[in-house]
Amino acid sequence: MININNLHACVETADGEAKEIIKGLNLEIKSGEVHAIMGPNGVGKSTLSYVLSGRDGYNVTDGSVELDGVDLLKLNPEERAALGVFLAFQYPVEIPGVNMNVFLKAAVNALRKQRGENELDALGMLKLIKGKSKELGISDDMMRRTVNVGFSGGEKKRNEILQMAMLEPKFCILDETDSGLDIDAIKVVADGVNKLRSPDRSFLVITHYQRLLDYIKPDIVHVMADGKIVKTGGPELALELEEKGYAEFLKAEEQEKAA
Amino acid sequence: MTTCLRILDRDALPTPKDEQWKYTHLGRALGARLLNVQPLAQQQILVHKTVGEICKEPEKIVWKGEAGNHYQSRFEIVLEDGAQATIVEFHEGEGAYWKNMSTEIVLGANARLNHIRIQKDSVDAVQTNMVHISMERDSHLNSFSINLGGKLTRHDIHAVLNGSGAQCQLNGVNLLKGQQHGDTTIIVEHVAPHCVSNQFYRSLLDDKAHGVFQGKVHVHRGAQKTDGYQLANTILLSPMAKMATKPELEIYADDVKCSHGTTTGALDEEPLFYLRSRGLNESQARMLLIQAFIDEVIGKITDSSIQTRIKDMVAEWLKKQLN
Amino acid sequence: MAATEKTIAQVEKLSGGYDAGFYTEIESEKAPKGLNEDIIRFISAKKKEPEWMLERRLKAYYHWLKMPEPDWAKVKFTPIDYQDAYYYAAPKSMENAPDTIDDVDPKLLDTYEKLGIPLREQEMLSGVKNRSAVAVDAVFDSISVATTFKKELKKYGIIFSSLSEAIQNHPELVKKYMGSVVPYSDNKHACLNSAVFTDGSFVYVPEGVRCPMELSTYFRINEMNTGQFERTLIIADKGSYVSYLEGCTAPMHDERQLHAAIVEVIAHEDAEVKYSTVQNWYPGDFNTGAGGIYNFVTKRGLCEGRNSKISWTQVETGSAITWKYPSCILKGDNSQGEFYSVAITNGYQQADTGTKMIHIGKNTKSRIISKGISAGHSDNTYRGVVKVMPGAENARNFTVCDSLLIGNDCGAHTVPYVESRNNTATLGHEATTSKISEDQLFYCMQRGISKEEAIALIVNGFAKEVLQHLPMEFAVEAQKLVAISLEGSIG
Repeated sequence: MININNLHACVETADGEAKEIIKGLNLEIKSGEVHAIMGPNGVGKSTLSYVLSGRDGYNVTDGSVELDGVDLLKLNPEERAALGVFLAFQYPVEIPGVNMNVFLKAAVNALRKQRGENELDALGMLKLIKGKSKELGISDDMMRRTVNVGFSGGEKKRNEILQMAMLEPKFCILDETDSGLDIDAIKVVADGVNKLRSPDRSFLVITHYQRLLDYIKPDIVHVMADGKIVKTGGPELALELEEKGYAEFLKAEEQEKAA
Repeated sequence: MTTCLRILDRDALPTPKDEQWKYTHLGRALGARLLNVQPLAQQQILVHKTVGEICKEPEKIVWKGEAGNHYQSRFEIVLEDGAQATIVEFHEGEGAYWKNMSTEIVLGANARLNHIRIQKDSVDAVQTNMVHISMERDSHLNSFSINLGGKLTRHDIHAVLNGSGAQCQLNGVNLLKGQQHGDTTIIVEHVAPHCVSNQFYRSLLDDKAHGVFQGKVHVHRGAQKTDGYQLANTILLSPMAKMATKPELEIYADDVKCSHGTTTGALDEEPLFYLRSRGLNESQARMLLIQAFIDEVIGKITDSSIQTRIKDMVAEWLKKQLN
Repeated sequence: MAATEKTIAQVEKLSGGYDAGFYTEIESEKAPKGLNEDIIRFISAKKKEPEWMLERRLKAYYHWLKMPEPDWAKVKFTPIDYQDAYYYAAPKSMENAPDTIDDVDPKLLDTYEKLGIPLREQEMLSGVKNRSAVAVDAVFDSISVATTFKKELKKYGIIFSSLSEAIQNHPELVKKYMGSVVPYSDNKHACLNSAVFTDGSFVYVPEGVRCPMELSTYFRINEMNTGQFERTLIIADKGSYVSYLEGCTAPMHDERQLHAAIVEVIAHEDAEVKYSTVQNWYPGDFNTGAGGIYNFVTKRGLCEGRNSKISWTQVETGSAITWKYPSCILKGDNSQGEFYSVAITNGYQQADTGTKMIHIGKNTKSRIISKGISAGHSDNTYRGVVKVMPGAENARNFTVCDSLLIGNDCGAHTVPYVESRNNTATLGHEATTSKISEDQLFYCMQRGISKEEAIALIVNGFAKEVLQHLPMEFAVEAQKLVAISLEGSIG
């Protein structure tokens, strides 16, 4: 599915200088797997999600990223979306005046067009939206509002999952989807994600805390520090991290390496 | 179109054609008598701080006016790179006179100027003041002016932000009563990128007073990452008072954040009611709210003793006007 | 020189983003080039006008000669050579007014059909265009081609006709109201119109009548070097209601063309008039700015009676230069004025547009929502006046003006004039200027939407507060127009 090889990436700072954030990251996620990346703030987790989805201002200086053998780095964001890359944003963006229905229709049809499928008409779209939103317990009222404007934290994240369900991606990145959510909201979001798990869909769950992983059970857990992955293990790694805290864990790791 | 005037002489008074909006009839305010007075020899005060000079104590400069005179005053404040100063400029006088000033403020890189201007000219006096400000890289200007005096006062401020990172704060309050006319015209030109400018003016107009505020933020092509703000609020205290406001944005760069807001009106009823429900009588409540309205601008002065002094001045004015 | 459908289609293709840029080859009768007293007499004679109308025209003309051009707007253009234009052009076939729609030259009907404005009532009613019924007055250069649903409207006592007809049939109303809101001496452009206006629409809605359908006028400038000087007069009598739409297009000519119109609206006690415009005059060449329409329009409404209301909604996407300030004089107590505007400039367009709200009566309210979008090398200015007179107790105004910049070669300007002379009045004005947010763009693109489509989506959202005030049939068209107007705005 996705192959990330020796990835180096820079971010432009306010003074216009390039600062390296991702420093030689390797990662392989197979079809149907759920991987989690954990790590303290500022190690480049969100940067990784932007690099993978192709945001302007995030420049790859070395390495490669391939999705099913296709070089992602050459493509612009909408082409990557058409290939099946989906990013659930940590901070979903408000777009005043643009109705949810209008937005979803634009997105679904843009993808269908790029994938060479027929565009859905208004009725087909309505059916699709109704079906998916019902599954996720999203009210019709929310669909009539404008994109993310006035949504609560929980509603915003549920909206991300709804879009994920509608756009049927292959590779989903969840960037701190649990941030700002209470336990009940996390459960709803996690349920939504779990329903979407399938043998031909992979997930990369980026999170700061272990608790999301209680609900979205990962196959593999990675620890990220200073722009690369420093340790990989099973779900038990997340528990270990939670217990020790990042500082102690990383220190122990360093000592281990030194020895 | 907002145009700033150059220093005036009696032959160069603006005509309605020069000022398409809110024409200030200086000729009428001055009257034949003052118009025909020969100006006194130019008075000049120069404050000059050399590179890196840091003056902690506020420096006070007083401009006086005497009946029957026409002053051509020139005030220059030059702060070289890294210099810091606080200047308190005070205006007072008696009788009818014309104080025709030009003020030049030049700030070098990283210079810091706090400029406080207290204008308590005689109520028969006319003051015209053309201010030119030029600011280099990372310089900061924090300017505050309070206008209490003068039959007619007119400030034309033209600030040019030449160096990136410059920050220009222009704050002021106008407290006008009787037949006073107070006019503030500002143009801030963002020539360099990454600059911040802020205009914050509040006015209280009582009796038949007439206020004018025209402010303009002009963002030149290439002045990206500009932050430009304007806020002008006015409370009309009497049915005969009038206010004209024109905040203007002229923007030729796309990566900017600029906004302006103005309100003109009476005191908000809701907070008034809230305070009265807590036991204050109406005049106490009004006094409190109006004071708070003005204090918000005064709060922008960094020197706390100057702040207190100006608050006292405002309190005194309010006491006289509201009771 | 009959143009076949084929060539029209070809021209249409060539016109790229501007779909309405085709020219209809039609034999036209013109007044001699230039402007003088004889031309005015010619126009008046063509229209078989009564003497009083001619006198009014001549009075305006002699005043116009002395008037200076307004120079305060933020627009730059080469001075207009008033002698180098035609002031009257009409299809020959219209010389004797056709009795029924079937007598109208098919080329004219085709022109409107192509523009999406069917003039055959049965077609509209049979729902060919899938729209609800809209009565149309179609103005082609200097003359009204047809007015639909006149009979239907007459049942309600509503007069909807070309202004030329109204001068013949309802001189008392025209005499009373024309020039009462926009006097001929108002400004140079309005003065010119008062002297040479050729046609336009006239609406009178009698007391207590709620007009059962949307009324509309579709203006089309076809001939080269021809000015269009139409005039619209809408009178809503006590307690009546009418919603009126206006649309305009022109072919792509290399020369600039002048369009100086006047719209006057009068709302009596308890009456409400909703006036919507979608202005899509030819904006000039995208890359050079050559050609295009000078759109110098004076629109003003008078809220004459108590509780009356006038609401202006405009979507301005066309014209090389727009100089236009639909205004409300709020004279009646409790009267209300509204102005909702979207102005998009691209290429080398210049727009200076806004409104004036003059509060005279007690408890008068006004609301201004303006959204400006600048792209390309264009300049877009909001200019508005809110004035509260001493007698306007408790007047309220609320103004929001937002500007969006797309690209670094355009300009966005906001010039509000706020004057209050009453201490019980409350006036608030807010304005912001920003660029399209990178976050919003990326969010859309991550969902698979292309950059161009994302911009159109975001801009439509930005303008929604205004667009939602358009009548349904217009709103969809307007949204598409927003997207088309922004074409080529990103590299």
